[in-house]
Amino acid sequence: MHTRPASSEPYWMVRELVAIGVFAALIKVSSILVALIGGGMNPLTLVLKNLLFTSLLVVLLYKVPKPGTLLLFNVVSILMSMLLMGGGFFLLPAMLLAGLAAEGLIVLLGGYSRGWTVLAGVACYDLLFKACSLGISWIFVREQPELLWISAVFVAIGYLGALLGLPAGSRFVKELRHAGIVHE
Amino acid sequence: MQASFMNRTMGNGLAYRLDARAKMSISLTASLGVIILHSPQSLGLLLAASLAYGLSLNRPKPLLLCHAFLAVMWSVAFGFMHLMQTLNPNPVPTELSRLLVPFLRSAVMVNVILVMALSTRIQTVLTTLKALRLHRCIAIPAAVMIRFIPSFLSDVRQVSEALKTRGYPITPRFVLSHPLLATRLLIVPLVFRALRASDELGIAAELKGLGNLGSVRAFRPPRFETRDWMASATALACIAAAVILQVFTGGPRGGMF
Repeated sequence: MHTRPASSEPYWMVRELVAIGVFAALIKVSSILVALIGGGMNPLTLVLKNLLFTSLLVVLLYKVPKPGTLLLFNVVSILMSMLLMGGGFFLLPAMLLAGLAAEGLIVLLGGYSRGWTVLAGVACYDLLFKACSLGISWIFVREQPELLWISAVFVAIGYLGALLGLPAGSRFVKELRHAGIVHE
Repeated sequence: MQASFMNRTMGNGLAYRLDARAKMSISLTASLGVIILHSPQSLGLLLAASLAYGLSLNRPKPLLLCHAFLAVMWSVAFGFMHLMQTLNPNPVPTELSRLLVPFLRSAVMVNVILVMALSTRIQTVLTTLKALRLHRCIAIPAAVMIRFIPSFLSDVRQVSEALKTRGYPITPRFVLSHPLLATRLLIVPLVFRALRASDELGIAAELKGLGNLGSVRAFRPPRFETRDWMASATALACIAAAVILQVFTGGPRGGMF
């Protein structure tokens, strides 16, 4: 049986790529389900949806602690939204920018080996992405800019949920480590 | 989207006979079109074209439901704007046409998204992703993402049934009145199941040699036929006609153009 030399080993193992795909689906479907149950413009639903997003993202980054995971997750999510739903086309630059900045921050702070750097990266990613998304919303509602202020309030509420999701994600990881599903 | 993952017989309309790549290109063209256009007349033309495309599904019920939902959202937004105008001593001028434009954009996108979601099988999407020659780092997570959604929905059903058996009613009221408990009861088991599924799928994929996508060939490769070219060209022609209409009729100017 032939074994590949270490130099030709791909950067991403298949099981890591599978984990990224599973989490992309998990985050998308759970967000849709929360929105369907609670109604899209309900503040509590917004908090819950964002809380879930960041906590699941934290779990993914602990599960696949490699530089580029966040970026690849974003690319896959937005690509699927673009190909299957036609939407999200204009969110791609915002997502890439936010993803690159967050990856850079994690590397600067000491990499994926430290827990708090992952949390800081996710918080930075969500903040940048939401700010860029607001800019894109302006293109959509430019005829009625007053609507943008209403959107900004909802986005701020959403970000509050995203921040609450960071300790929740940490707690998830603790439980998952205890169960032996996420390794140290 | 859920309907597209069901294993039921697909319909006979044009939407079902189009190649998934043609539908993807129509969706992308439409999303580009709604960004460029800002006049209600040209967006109205695009809405009529997208509605004709949506009706080729031969399933008016989901279309009707989505449009009814949009109409309700528009009425709520208009009502709030009217209320703000009444309360504010220096009212912001609220024109019906200006408030209509964002909703026209959404309606166009709803039509094209529904066609994509309700007339395409998962297997077709997977084959199309392969045909698009995406890099393995994107193709594998994308394929897993599509494949995992139905099993995740079935997990959600199982967990909510288990909770009902234990006496927890998973209703919107329960979720809103006990958000933390609902999250703990629903999400924690789902995350555990998802992580287990991810490990199992990863091992299965490695054993099946999924990492080497280059050697895998589709049993029935997708073909981009004349009707697909025609549909894509028609979408482009509709956008061009809407742009011409906008140039001639004018309409409210947006902040960008």
